[in-house]
Amino acid sequence: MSTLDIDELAPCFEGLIPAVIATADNNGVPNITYLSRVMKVDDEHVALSNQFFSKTSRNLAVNPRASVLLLNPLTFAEFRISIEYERSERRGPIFERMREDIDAIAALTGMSGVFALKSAEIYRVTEIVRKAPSGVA
Amino acid sequence: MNTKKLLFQEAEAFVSVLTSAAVSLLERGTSIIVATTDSDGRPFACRAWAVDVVDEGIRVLMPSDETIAFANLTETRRYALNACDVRTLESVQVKGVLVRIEEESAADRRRAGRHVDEFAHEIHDTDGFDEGVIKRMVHSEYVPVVLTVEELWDQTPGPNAGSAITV
Repeated sequence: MSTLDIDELAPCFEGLIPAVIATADNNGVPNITYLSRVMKVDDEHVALSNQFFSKTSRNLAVNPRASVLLLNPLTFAEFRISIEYERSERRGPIFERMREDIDAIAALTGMSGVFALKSAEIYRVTEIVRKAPSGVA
Repeated sequence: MNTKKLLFQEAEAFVSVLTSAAVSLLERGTSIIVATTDSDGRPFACRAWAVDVVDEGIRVLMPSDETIAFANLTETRRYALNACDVRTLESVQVKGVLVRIEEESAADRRRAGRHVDEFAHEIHDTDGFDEGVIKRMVHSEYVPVVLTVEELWDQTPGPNAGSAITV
């Protein structure tokens, strides 16, 4: 495993393979949710799509740390990023761009009417780790 | 406190938690994610391969190099596991605590191989990705963990996502 730059995650941000976020409540009970979209905001931040995040949102209110798994759709290389929640955006350019992407993904997967963006969640990235491939193919 | 007795009682409780649909989803070639937390409450996500329902709860094959996950499980015992059908997006999440960590056997490697084959085939059929490329995610060594199941949650995208499932 190695520590990487956020730009090396670019293929993972295409939205072809859902990402996964793990959070925890104030008793340390973890929770897992799939994400339709992860976007780069700047060199230190990513935006995550909030579609069905009730438990995740409750957890982040008491514990802002989260662990996200991402897959490169071209190589299936796996990345794990550690992030900390900063804010939610319900309007503005990041939200609008994410909403357009979510609508497109929903149309492609037959989930129109099910996938609806509530907010773009902005997180600071604290660590990026690439999982070493096993070489088994 | 008699830990063995406590774990046995927890194991007894799980039987009524899992529905037959959840068992089917957990045991087929789904995408499996495990989350653990350290003593500071820091969450950690990793992939796992193959789940089987056993007397005490579930037995999960986790990649042997996920040392943080094993340290977390040993320290705090708590986990969440999500199983998602890549074709239908039907998903469940189970939660509970660690019962024990076991040694890998040849049967486990065969079980993981079957899961990986099914998982890769499902992705290929659904999204067209090359099965050989998908299998680059796979690990060559696994560590079986036995976990209680105390909670079952619907995670399928839609209005019921995040709601508890009761038998």
